[in-house]
Amino acid sequence: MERAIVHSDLKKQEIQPQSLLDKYLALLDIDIQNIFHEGSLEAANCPVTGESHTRESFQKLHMKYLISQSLGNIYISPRPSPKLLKNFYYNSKAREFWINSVWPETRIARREKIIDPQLMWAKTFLTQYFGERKLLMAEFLANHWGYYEGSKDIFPSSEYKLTEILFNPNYLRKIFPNDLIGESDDSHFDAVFLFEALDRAPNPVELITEVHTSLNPGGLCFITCLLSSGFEIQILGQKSEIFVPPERMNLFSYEGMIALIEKVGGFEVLEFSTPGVLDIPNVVSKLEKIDDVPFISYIFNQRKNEELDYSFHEFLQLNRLGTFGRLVLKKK
Amino acid sequence: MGEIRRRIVDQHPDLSLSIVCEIDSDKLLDNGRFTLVRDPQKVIESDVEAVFICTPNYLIPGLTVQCIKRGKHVFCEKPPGRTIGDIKRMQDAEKENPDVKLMFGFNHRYHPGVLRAKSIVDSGKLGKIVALRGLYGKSGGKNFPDSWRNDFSTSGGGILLDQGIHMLDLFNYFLGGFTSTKAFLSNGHWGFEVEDNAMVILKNNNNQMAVLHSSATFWKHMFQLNVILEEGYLKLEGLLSKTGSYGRETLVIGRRQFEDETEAVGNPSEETIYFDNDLSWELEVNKFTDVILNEKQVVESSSIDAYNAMELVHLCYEDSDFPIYKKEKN
Repeated sequence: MERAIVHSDLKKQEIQPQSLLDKYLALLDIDIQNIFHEGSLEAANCPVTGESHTRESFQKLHMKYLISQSLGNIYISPRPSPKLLKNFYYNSKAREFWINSVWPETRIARREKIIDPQLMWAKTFLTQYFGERKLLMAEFLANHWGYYEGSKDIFPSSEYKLTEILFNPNYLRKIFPNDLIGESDDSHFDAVFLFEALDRAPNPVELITEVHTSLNPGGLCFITCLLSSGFEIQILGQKSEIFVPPERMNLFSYEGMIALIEKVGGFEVLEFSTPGVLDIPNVVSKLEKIDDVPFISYIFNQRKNEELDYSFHEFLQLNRLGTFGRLVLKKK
Repeated sequence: MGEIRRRIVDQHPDLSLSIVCEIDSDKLLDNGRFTLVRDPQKVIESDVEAVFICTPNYLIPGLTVQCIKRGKHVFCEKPPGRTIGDIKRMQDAEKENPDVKLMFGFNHRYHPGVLRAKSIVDSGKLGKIVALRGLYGKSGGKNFPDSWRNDFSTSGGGILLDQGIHMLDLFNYFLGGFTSTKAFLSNGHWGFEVEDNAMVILKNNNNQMAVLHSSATFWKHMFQLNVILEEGYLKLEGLLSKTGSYGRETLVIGRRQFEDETEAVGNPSEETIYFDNDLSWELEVNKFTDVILNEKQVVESSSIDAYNAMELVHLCYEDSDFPIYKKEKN
């Protein structure tokens, strides 16, 4: 199981300008109250083990996060059903704002620094395992069309379908009028992409099982996700701005993710990396607001220098302790 | 090498180990499941369908040719004999027996770092290759001076033929088509009749170059391959092995940054991949089994690849004016 260490000049401000983020969060606050009424949510246990024992819980934007006792997975409970989640993505003012304001403002940076590099990462594996042949690929539970758009440049000769789209496909029909947009039939794919899809999946075991069923033998599944075992979430906990409900319904720990894959079975993990680059700046920006991590404060306040940042960043990634995770699974 | 091949054959669901030829039977304590012989003719005359030849270089061509002539598929360790004439003999036998599969053990092609580097190059995302730079060397351990590998009559060459040939095969795998060769050889440290250091420069008709330092005096096991491309670079370092002596296998991927004179960057952001699992031996034997069972043509690590790598070694030997090879040439 390989791992990657990535250095990048990505800055949070490029993909999440603070003014836009603040407005998005304000709208989300109202949406959650309007869409997720009392009684419309369903109680859930740990999405991997099914256990009900928890280490602790906290509230974020009116929704309750629990931390599972055995694996440290963070998950929302009670949570929306798949139907209610889709309703949120279709009717939320916050999502509308994201699509009409955040995406256009940050599109270039997101394409250049997130989307295209992630598609190129996948392409390298696909070239290694399938050569240059035309591939049939699918992205599950997409909440925007950025990867779909990027796939046209990165995989010009392959077919990239969207399955279980979480945004109104009319946006897509407007932007890509010549494309046949609609739910994919039950084709078997060479590759499946779960770009942060596990994070928002009401039932992650069901999603991974579905991916397994829809992949050809030897097919690859590319996953990106946030990890509860990552530095930022471990240090900042609920103060971390990187996760908000209901988009981040599940944040698995490293161990939780492995357990999830093993629970479904039938996959070989080719890569598990935590190549994010925002753990340190995100923690440093909030150091003043946390007071129970004196060693971390000492490191980044009194001993702060570029070399230390660089080596700490390498340490986190080398030991899979970053908050952003990426995996490649191969169907056996 | 025979031990490794035996382990992989034992694990393979489509292969069954029938007979082993080993002079030193102490090496084979667990021999209950196969026949152990000391005379290779007994293998050649047996009814096995495929043979792995893991012997010193001077034995390779004769054994390979005999096996092929008896219709046995052959997986042969590198180097493919001692001379260009050796590999030609094997190719002739292969041509006369077109149903027989002949494959060579250029195992490095199947290492995870090499596979990934090749797929990055093939994906085109970093443009075309400009140059290759390889370092491959040994520590020169306690028993090194007594090894048959340093005896010309047994091996046919020194470190370049023994170990450097892997890197030359990778040069061919990534680039190939070399038409110019410059080589300097030395036996200055160990004083064997064969080289203990080789410096090699190659160039092809597309103006692409490769340079190799193959050495028995690095004092540590070392493997490094740099692939310099139009839009970036790859640095492959270390090789996963049983002992871990070549260090952790890593691949560094760097993208070229466009610089101007006032703001020279020179140190682009890199991605480093750490590989934890070496399946190279399994992949190699899987390929061999696949071409046999599915009657496919051998396209990787074929006799053509073996010839091309051997040709480079001998072009270097010819260019070097190193005494033993000069004598051989004359």
